[in-house]
Amino acid sequence: MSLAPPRSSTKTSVTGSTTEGAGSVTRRLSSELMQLMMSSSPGISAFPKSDANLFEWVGTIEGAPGTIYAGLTYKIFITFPPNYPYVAPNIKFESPCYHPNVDLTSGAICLDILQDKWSAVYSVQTILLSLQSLLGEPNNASPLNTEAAGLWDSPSEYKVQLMRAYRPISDGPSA
Amino acid sequence: MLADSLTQLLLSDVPDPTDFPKSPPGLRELDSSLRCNICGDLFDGPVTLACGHCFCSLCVRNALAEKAECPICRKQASETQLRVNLAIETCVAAWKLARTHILRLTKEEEERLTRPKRKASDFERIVIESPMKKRKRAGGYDERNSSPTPGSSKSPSKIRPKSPVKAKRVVSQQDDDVIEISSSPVSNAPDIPSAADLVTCPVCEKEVPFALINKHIDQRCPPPPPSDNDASTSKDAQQTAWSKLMAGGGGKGRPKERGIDEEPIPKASYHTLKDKQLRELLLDHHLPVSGDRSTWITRHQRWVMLWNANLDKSPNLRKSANDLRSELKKWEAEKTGKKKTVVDDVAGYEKRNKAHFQALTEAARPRKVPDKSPSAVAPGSPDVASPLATPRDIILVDEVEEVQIG
Ligand SMILES: [Zn+2]
Ligand SMILES: [Zn+2]
Ligand SMILES: [Zn+2]
Repeated sequence: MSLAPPRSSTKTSVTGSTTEGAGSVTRRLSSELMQLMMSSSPGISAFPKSDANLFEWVGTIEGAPGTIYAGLTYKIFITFPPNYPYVAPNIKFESPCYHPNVDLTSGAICLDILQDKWSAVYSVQTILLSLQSLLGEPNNASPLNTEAAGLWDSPSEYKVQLMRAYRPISDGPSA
Repeated sequence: MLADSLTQLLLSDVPDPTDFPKSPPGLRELDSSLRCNICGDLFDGPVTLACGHCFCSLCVRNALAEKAECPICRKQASETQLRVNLAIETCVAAWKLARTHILRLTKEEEERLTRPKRKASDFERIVIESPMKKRKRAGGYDERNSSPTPGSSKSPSKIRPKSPVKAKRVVSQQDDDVIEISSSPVSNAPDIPSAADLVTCPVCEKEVPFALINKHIDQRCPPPPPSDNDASTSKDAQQTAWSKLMAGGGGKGRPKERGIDEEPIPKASYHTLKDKQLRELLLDHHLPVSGDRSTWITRHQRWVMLWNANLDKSPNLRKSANDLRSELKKWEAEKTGKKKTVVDDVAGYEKRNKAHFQALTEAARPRKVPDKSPSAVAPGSPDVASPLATPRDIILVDEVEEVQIG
């Protein structure tokens, strides 16, 4: 996993800014990064995709123990808009995820806090933890994957479909 | 390259509440409670909504522009509700001065407790070496890292009013004897100096009058007031169209703080304005008129926000109109052009750097007390969104294409 401030950080860091406001997006993102690293929340992680761009991150979410997703790890992409955190980041599953609220092919996620319930006080960490709990507790009222929603109450059949779609995250270059 | 910038980030040690140990109790909570839940920084121009929640004025104005509700409790909210919170503003100003000092004292205390038997000479060494040792300022503040040798004349107490408060810790120059060391960290905390007293800037370490310290920091540590040397080469020459617009005062020194006592700018209903009127509006505020109509509108909206948020601060903490213009410019630049250097082989890239990353993470971790807090998702829980701190002195800015304006 990569993680780093943009290459230009040495150059621009000194010019650096007052508090709040201008230039605050990268500042907030780098502190979120620090926060994630320092807090070591089990089962979630996220880092910038490259050291040159803080606005695109890759993350992983592991199914919580005791849920049907236990032991499965999913890769996600996070893209931050320029007006983050006032607008929610864009998040989707990179790994195919069989889940009532996830579109199996596009990876799109239906989760209120990523849409109309977003708040500027949320963070990447908040999101990842929400997604982690969403895995084990889908909202079957508004499914993106209706088949999955229908099977949710039949755990053994659900598990079969779940494992059929699942692709372990490879460490190799050909992900 | 990755290693370098990564190391830099980790060493930069973003200040946040977890800088403080859990004990003595209250310090971490105090630091956390003086931070805005949106930006994670210490409150800057704190304002309170009708629900009682407090944010930086600019942060909450930004949030309200997206959604008319409190970002924490979701109660209906609007800009008209905003009330300046003077008590918190004063509190933050004092905390900024005390923070570094208290932080150091807690570290010293920790060290002292873990190594109870120590001769006075050992203690002196620690007193001198420990201040801010872990802090490495990006780009030029490294002096802090090179600790003065024992016995050097540099006093370890960095943040301390020059007068009238006397230094409470004295390190002997002649030999290893420590003359006087206050035993209680609390008693060592500086009194709040009066406006004319000189304090040492925590960033550049210059002596600055207390009344001006926050402004000094906000203005990125400009050289001391034009007392003797007016001809000091000022600023970078990065200004183009903006610089003409920002002129205002005459060349040297800080331009006259124009408009600082002025009224809030009312919002305009842009759809009723003709292009010409819109241009006038921008020119009235000495803003560039480059770009198309929608750029003008965005620019003016942002300007109104910056301006009005600035007025929510006490006059001595406000930025000059020119500083606000610089911020506007920076904001436009960040919005427009982020240079994206894409790594093609992401997976391979990650793999190659994984080991290095882990080593660095491990190295960084002990610097802070691990924080296991965020578990809930509900806003309003102080654990969730608080520790997004950023230092004013470590700013990681994406490479930005200079935007041609004006
Ligand atoms: Zn804020
Ligand atoms: Zn509220
Ligand atoms: Zn009063």
